[in-house]
Amino acid sequence: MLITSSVIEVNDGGFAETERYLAGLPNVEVRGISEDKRRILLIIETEDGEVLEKISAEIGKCPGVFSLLHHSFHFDEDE
Amino acid sequence: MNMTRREMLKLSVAASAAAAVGIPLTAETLTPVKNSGEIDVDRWVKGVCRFCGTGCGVYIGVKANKVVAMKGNPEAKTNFGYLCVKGSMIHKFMYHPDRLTTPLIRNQNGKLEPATWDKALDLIAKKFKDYQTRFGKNSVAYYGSGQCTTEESYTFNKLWKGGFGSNYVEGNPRLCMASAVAGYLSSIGSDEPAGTYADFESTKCLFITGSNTSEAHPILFRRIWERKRKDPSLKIIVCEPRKTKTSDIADLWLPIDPGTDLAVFHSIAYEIIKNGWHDKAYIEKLARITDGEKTFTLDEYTKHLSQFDADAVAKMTRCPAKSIRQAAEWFAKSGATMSIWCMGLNQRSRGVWANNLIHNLHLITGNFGKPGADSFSLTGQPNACGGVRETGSLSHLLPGCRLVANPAARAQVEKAWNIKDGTIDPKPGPDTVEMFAALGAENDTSKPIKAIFICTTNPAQSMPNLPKYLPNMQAGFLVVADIFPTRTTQFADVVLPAAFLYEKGGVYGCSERRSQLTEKAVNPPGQAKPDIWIAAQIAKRMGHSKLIPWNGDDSMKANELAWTDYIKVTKDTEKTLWGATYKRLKESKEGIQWPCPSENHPGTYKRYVRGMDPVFDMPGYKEKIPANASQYFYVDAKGEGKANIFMRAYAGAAETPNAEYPFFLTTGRVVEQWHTGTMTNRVPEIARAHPNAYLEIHPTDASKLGLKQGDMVEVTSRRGKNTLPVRIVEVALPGVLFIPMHDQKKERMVNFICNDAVDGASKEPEYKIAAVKITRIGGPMDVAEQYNISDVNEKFVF
Ligand code: SF4
Repeated sequence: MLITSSVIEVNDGGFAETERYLAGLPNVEVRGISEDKRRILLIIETEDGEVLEKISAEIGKCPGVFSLLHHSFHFDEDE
Repeated sequence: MNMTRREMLKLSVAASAAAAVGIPLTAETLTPVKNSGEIDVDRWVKGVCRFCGTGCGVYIGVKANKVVAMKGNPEAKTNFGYLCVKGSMIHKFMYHPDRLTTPLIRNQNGKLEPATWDKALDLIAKKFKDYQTRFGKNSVAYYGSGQCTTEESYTFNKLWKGGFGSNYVEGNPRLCMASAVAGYLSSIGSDEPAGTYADFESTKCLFITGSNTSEAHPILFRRIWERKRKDPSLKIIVCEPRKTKTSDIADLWLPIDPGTDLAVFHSIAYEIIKNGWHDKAYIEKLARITDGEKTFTLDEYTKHLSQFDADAVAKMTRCPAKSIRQAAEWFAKSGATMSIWCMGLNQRSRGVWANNLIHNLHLITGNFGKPGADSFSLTGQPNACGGVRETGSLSHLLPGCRLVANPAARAQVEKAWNIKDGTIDPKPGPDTVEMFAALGAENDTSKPIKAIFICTTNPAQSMPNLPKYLPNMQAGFLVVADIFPTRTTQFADVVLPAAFLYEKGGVYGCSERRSQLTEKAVNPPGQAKPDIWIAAQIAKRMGHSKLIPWNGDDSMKANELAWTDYIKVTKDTEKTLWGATYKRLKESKEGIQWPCPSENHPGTYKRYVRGMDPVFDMPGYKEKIPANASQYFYVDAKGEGKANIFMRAYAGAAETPNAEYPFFLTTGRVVEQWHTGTMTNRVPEIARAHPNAYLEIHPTDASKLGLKQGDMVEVTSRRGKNTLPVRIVEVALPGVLFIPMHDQKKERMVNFICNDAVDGASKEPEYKIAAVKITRIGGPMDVAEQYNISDVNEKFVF
């Protein structure tokens, strides 16, 4: 199991759209929002790096998303 | 809600990321951290984080006499409930199977084997007495830590200086804070900042230098980030050789080559005065310009500074002249400027001068003694300030940061300790580097120190220039008290299993003069014991139980007796905590900031300002403060109420790149790990996030050397070498390399490379700057070992 923390940078006026879009994605949890609504902190839980890549590509398709940056990766094998 | 392991992991991942990138967590995510009702525990016990000098208030979750959870204390004035990844995971290493649970004595065959406490303590007392008889009182040294509690450091210090009459007492704050201490003493007249973290909320310009705050003090960084977000007009200037996450929120980054910042600070001062932005009235009333002996006029000072014209300095430092001028304008004209710095300034062969020059900027602009204006040194360890600086647990100090060389100070302490006049040796003992250089075998006549008691620290990994000092640790008689096997226990003749902070309780004093009490939450595992008990048992066996009477088994009772003794000794100093009784500290959710002269005093936000600082009304001080003085440096050695603007020369690093060693190397922390990694690296999530050290190199340098991401390289200095993978990133300036300092694997222990050249005044080593060369030795290798020393008998082959 791979747990990833990632940060989305949001385009001008793109927050509401991005928030809605993310709510529709499985394994993606919004854990932090910057006060100016320009950055969103996500936790993404996936089976492996390949699935993570697919989810990242999905996120990238949202017009409100300016960029997606992964912050840290945690491999959790013992649960 | 019972928090699952997976949820806890996700929370900590989110908390770590949030702290690092400066995004506040959502209310739902914060709930388990901030709301006590949500996690399944029997009780929450008040305490302080065990790691950095921020001093975050915590609650320790206990279930069935085990610590099972951590959460931030929302009423704590240091962190307001937030914790970084380290603070939120403390409970995860407390029960690691590597915990030391029984005393160990090295046998004839060189193996450590279990022993009873009596046997171990009797052996220590016998050996110490024997050495003191044969080689003199100074043949047995103490080396403590900014992670011991105040009560522990005070007890060991009292035993050595008042009991043995020996100033051979040092501690690892010599390696991190000594330049800040000497900087405050020489510039202002008294150690530690005038202001507090609360100045972050009112400052208009924040000057961050020699500190990667985002990783080393992530919760303070969050506070700064939040202030900037609420008030974008706040100007943030960052001056450092690496463009770290800290620089991400800066309005201005001043890049510099390592060790050249003194020229930039002088240049900023010159720009300020040249443009008439200085505060003439403040300088005349509250400062003197000096080189430490003579005094100078403002014109003479300006002439001295004129050699640091911004254009000339730009060439020396790689800091653009335009940026220096902009920084000068913001610093002087903001209305309230605060500077913060940490090891980047202190761990330098000119660390004290660097500190002086920051104080200079504040004094020439009058950015002192008003809200949001302060020169504020951040501390690296949780109790370097309270435990070591304030208790005077260094070789030249006495409690209250008084000097052992001062006859009046010795007389005051001897009286308070009820010991014979003349017991305290007037001669300061050696500094840390000298101490480990003087340690050696009984038959080695060149090494006067034969034995050392090492408490809660790991010098066999943390000393600079390790190849020079490891043989001495191997040769001397070493007693080591710690919670895990470390590089240092590998050399120990006796290993004592210590209780962890939450298994004994005690007081920690953080960067902002705030003392906070941690209650004992659970019992230590096996036979592990509090260090204060260990100190008192040694005192008892060596005939000093009258001096250290707190030798009972109840650690909180012993702590209270030691604390009460301590606040009595320091009662009449400007660092008084006389009003911070143990009862009051137990009841307080936020701790107390000295000076606090009486039980009804709330503690002090700002020093040297009438109406805020109670020292203005304390006997011994009030007589010398003019009645009309609203601000006054009552600690001025000349008795004029002034601080010193130091006319310092320029000096670069002790070692700079040349043809053979063409790169600068610097070291530091990463957000997840802490110091020598012996605790944090035993948290699986942390170890996975940062499993090994690496060499950070700029893409330009990497391409010149034909290096690809992950390639293995050998990094060599004049002292030693590391073998580790490269990480090619645009963080440091080209020509500047970085290795984090937490890896315990010999091949990646950066202190084999680091320089032990020390500052002439503070005796703090120059960890931050070494000249090195790089050789590629192969393609990528998996070195993510998450290496710890688990077997107490594993040999350290160096
Ligand atoms: S910032 Fe420092 S004191 Fe606060 S939780 Fe993190 S390590 Fe602990």
